[in-house]
Amino acid sequence: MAKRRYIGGVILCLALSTSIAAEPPTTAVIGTPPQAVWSQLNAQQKTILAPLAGEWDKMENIRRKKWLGIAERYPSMKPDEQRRMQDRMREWASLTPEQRAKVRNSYKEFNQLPSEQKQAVKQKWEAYSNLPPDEKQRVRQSGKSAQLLAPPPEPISPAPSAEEQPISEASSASPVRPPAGEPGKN
Amino acid sequence: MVLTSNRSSNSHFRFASDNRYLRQILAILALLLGMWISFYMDSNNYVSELEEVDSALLSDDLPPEAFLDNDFFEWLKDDTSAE
Repeated sequence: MAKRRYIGGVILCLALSTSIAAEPPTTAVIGTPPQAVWSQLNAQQKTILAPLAGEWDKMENIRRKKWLGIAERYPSMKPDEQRRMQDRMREWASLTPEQRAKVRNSYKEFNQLPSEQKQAVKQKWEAYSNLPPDEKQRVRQSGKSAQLLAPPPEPISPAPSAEEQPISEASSASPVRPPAGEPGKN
Repeated sequence: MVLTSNRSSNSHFRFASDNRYLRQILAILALLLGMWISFYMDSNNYVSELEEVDSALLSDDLPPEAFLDNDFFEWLKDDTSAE
């Protein structure tokens, strides 16, 4: 119970936290030397940063510097991390500075949760994000998020129950046959 | 004689005043260099922090969309704080 309250508090912070400034500090902008344009990147950098090729030359120096740093870290990542990184690069770069700041703040808070609570949030998100939009709303209104982790009793019981009868009749009929057949075998 | 001593004191004065200008310019350049180094360090710190957060969140199995979905987080917040 106390743990749940703790998660609640942390998530409240997650939702409300907008403390990191969306724009970089002016001193950092002035202190960033001009960074390479796309044509000056080496082959490895171009391969890693390929999803950003279209917008690279329009990016501010400070963002280019950050991506070049990420490209340096990239080879040390696991293959599935590398795949996720490249899949998300373009979409991430297309977010507004405010959205990126919001996600970073929330992620920092999320990372401070104990690993089993992080795992629970991930499982809930996985279940939730696969629902169609109207179903998401229905689930949110119907109760607590813990239902996302429970084995889904509702979807199974109402729909198949109507169909189950003929099946159960068929299946109940089929067990009858073997005994009928078995004596015949004997 | 007077003329030559006048001339030498004149050139000495000019040298001293040039020297003062030079020192002022050097002081300003040193100040600018100091400021730029401080800004450069600021940029390095800021960028390395961003690098760390962005590389972790973009490679995590929980996608960034999860943190942008206000409805989802509001819901988690509401039902965990209700207990």
